Amino acid sequence: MSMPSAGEDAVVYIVDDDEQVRKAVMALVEAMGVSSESYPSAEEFLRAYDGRRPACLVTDVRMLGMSGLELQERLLDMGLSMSVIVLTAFATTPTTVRAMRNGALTLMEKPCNDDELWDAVRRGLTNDRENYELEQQRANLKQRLAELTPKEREVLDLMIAGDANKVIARKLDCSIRTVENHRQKVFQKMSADSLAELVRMAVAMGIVPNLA
Amino acid sequence: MSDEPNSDRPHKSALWGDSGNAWCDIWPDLISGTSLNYCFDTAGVIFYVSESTRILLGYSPEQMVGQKFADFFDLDHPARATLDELAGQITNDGPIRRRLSVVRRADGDVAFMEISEGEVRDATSNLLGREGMAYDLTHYISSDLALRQSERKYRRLVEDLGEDYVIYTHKPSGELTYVSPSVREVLGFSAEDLIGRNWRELIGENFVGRDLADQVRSEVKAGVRFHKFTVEIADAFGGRRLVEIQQRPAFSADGRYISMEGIAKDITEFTRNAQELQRLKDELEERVAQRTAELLTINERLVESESRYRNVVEDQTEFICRWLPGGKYTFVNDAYCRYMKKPYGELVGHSFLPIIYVEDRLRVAAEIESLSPEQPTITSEHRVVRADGSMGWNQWTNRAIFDEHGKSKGYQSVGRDITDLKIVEDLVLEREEHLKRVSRLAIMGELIAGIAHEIHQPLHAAQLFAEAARRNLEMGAERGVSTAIDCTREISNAITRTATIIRHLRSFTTNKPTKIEPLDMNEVVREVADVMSYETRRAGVKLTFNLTEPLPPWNGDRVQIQQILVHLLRNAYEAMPQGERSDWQVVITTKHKNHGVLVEIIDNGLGTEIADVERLFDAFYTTKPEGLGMGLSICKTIAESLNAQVEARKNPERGMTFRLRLPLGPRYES
Repeated sequence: MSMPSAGEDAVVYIVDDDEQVRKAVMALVEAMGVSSESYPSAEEFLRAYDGRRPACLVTDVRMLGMSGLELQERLLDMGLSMSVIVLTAFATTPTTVRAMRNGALTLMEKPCNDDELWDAVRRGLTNDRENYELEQQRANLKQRLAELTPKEREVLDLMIAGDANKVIARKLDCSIRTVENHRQKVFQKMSADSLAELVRMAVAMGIVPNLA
Repeated sequence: MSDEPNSDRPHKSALWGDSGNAWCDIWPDLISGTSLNYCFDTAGVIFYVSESTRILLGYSPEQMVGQKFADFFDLDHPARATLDELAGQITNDGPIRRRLSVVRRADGDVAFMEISEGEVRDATSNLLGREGMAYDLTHYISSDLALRQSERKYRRLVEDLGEDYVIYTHKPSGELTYVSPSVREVLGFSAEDLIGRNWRELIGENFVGRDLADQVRSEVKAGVRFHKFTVEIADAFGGRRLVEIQQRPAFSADGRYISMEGIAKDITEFTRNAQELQRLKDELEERVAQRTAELLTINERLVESESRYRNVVEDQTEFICRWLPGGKYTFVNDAYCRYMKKPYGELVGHSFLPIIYVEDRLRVAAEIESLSPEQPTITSEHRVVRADGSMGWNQWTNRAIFDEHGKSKGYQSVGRDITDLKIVEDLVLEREEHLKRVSRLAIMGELIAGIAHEIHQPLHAAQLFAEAARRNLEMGAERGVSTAIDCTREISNAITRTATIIRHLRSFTTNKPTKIEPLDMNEVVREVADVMSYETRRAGVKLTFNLTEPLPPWNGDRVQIQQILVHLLRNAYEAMPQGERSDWQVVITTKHKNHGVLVEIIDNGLGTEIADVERLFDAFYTTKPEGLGMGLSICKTIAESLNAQVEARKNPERGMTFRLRLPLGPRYES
């Protein structure tokens, strides 16, 4: 997947209680041509958060009130995903371990090297865009799947398992003709052109065919 | 050996020796209140009796000395038999014989004393006489005699009881049908007066036993055939008598309850006497117990004081001297002779002042001058020239002895050499000083580490602005140049901020000599808050200010006062463990009050559990596992060197307040 140089919908959240640092990160992100929002505390950021879009969060570990690590954990609890870059003026092993375990993209020390934050933010945005698209696709597929009748869902599961029409007919105790009708509906509702595509969709949705 | 000339008479008692006097000096009230001691020679003539005889017997010692011992002691007495019986209770298991003696008092009365007596012998075992100690037991003996007397009275009372009985019968209704004539003796009524009256009428509304009397009828119904109770009965004179009733109901042949027959015993006097007797007995027992306890304590204290005195005299670890006003020795003990390496004769008659160091001499003289009958002792330390010519430290406890006009007539001193102690003390002080220095350096080191971190913030910002500027210029975008210019301005700001932090750091750690200058404490507080901003953030503490503006300038050393404030702030932060709460707060206030400036650091941390907050300032006192316990102690030291004070107190709700009190005054004039 190619990365658009300036995805209009992507955003960089900057959460740091040092005003000068906030402004500096913003200046860099602006040079990147990506929009940014900055907050002096984790609490203010959470209050202003208005929904999922491709995003990269740049935050400090030590802040007045909630720390950057606690913010990371809060986001996980709330099921909000985004790329997270943790900055710190004093990296300790426990801090690093906790940040990485919470799924941080990277943890870097202040002051960082030239290009280091730039590259990290770009990588963070790319990663989250991919994740975002996958999330979108999965949501879309789930919606289509929900439109299937229970019978059609049964037929789909057997198709993915690789059963031929007549095996399906026998298993479901109906005519081959009926099975064919169901198959057609499944293809139509899932907007799939081939069995291979259906299987791909099933994998993307995490439906594991029961092979037993 | 009674023909010994008077001058050869032993003038010291072997038991108490010369200590007899010293002893009375030490325990004057103990001795005079309860006992006296005496000595008499082989002819039975008293040659010594203690001062306490004035109080115990009413004679002065002069009146007794030269008289026969038998004229005063071991007199015959009508109660001798009783006394012998009592004397049997005295344990007599020591080497010294004890006996109970009747002693003549000056007022014609007699005293009862327990005497412990022993023989006095000289070095060649010749009997010189006898000496003894007499404990006054007069109270104890007299009360015992009184008890015996009251017991006799009681016995007589019991034997004459016949007149106190009344025999009566009454109908089931209570109407009296017979009353014995003896009722006149008991209640004052004649028998005729009472017959026909209901006996319950005699029991008043609130008389003792009224309810018991009322119960009788139901008890009879219930089958009780004998009643015994105590009840108060009105007598003919408007008073009441306490009467013990014993009665039984009489029944007719067909089983009907027809009358009650009883005997009433007047127990008013009896009860009163029994109570009195009981009280007397209790009182006596208590007195005896008290007296026994007293004697025990006295014995213990005697043993204690004796052994103490023996230790002092015999072990001779301490120096004991007596001297006259002016410093001339009249007595020195062996220990002091050994210490001074001089024989007794070379010390006695000479003054001690020359051996005291010149620098200390005036002070010692003034201390001795200050002694008065109200404040007769003083302990002082001073330097002396020792026997080998070296300098030593002595500690002396001097006690002045006054005559009746309050004029000092001599001194007794107990002393010891404390040179080694002084050396150790100095060593400890030196170590403490060293530790303070080390600890201060360690604290400064930590602070520098914190500030170094703080520098990373603006450096980081500067670095990012530089990169942003470069990228803007590289892209050649329309607004790239102006954005880059903005960025360089920000870089400049960040550098200024870095420089400021470094300047603080330097001013804070350079070891400059104390420089007294007028300071605006509000400014100093803000500078400290700046220096501490990293630690403040790290601790997760909300730091706020409540400053009084303007404040009068306070003359002091900026760096030192900053050091105190940094210590106090750090101390507050350490009482706020991270993660335990999220509302940790520190408020710094400044006030202008009572010719001084107050800086208060108020926290809402965990505070301290110890009751005496002043202890917090003790060196090595710490509640923190990794702490040295020097921080607050250093604060106090620095503050005192600036004529300021640091105080601590617990807040009523939570946490502590540390107050820096900076007096405004003409000190430190430049």
